[in-house]
Amino acid sequence: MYKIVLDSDGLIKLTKSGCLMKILNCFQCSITEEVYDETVIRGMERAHDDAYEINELVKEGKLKVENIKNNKLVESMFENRTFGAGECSTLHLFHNSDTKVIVTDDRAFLNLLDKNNIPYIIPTDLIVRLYELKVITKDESINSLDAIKIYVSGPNYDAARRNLEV
Amino acid sequence: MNAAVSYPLRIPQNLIELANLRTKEEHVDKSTALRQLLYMGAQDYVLDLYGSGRISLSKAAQLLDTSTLDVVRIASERILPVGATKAQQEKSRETTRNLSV
Repeated sequence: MYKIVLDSDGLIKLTKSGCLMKILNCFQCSITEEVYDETVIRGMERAHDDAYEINELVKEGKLKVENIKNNKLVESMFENRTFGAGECSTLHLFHNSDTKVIVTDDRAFLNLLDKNNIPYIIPTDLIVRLYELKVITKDESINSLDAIKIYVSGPNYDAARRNLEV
Repeated sequence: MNAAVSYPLRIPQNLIELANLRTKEEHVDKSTALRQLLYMGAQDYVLDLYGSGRISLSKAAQLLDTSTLDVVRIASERILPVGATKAQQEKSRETTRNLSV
């Protein structure tokens, strides 16, 4: 099964899209302990529904939470104070496992992934791909994109809607 | 919750007046009012950095001592231009072609 790792940004946007469960059924998805802490634990402290929803998926074993081992190559990438524990640990996990791609829409993190030639997918494109793979219907993909429209950039939403028509 | 530290600071008179106003409006003491005003300014600054891609979501949440879900919510309320650039979106789209079930 194709393995992907999500950072907090990717996890939150796909949860809000309503199609995270479909993704978990198709791909082996992991997050790090740090992402779990900053999104789920801290989110539940503030009574965010999304945090409880993600926690259920973790408890059911559908979304795996992994401890990371530090990777020296990754440590050399983080020279400044641009990133938090979530992105750092996500990159360590990517390099210490057979993960194929990172799902994120965090511009700062994407800049770093670009610079280091690390493959990534943004949530809107993943939703389009689910439609292309016939995992979800066109209506479901439109509903998912509309659900995260306020959380993603206008041009990326528009590009995803165009790609659904191709 | 982050630990609080003392820091000597000269505060302009107009901000003290603003803090006095806040003590009455929000029923808080002056120190609390000043901390709240400082946090509001910090929040604006952190969100600007996040919106321009100079810091990440995780870093923004860490600096504001909050959850990433809160940062995403506030960013959407302020309609911040967060997310992938056009070039990054196109690269992401190419990568999805390798994705199969």
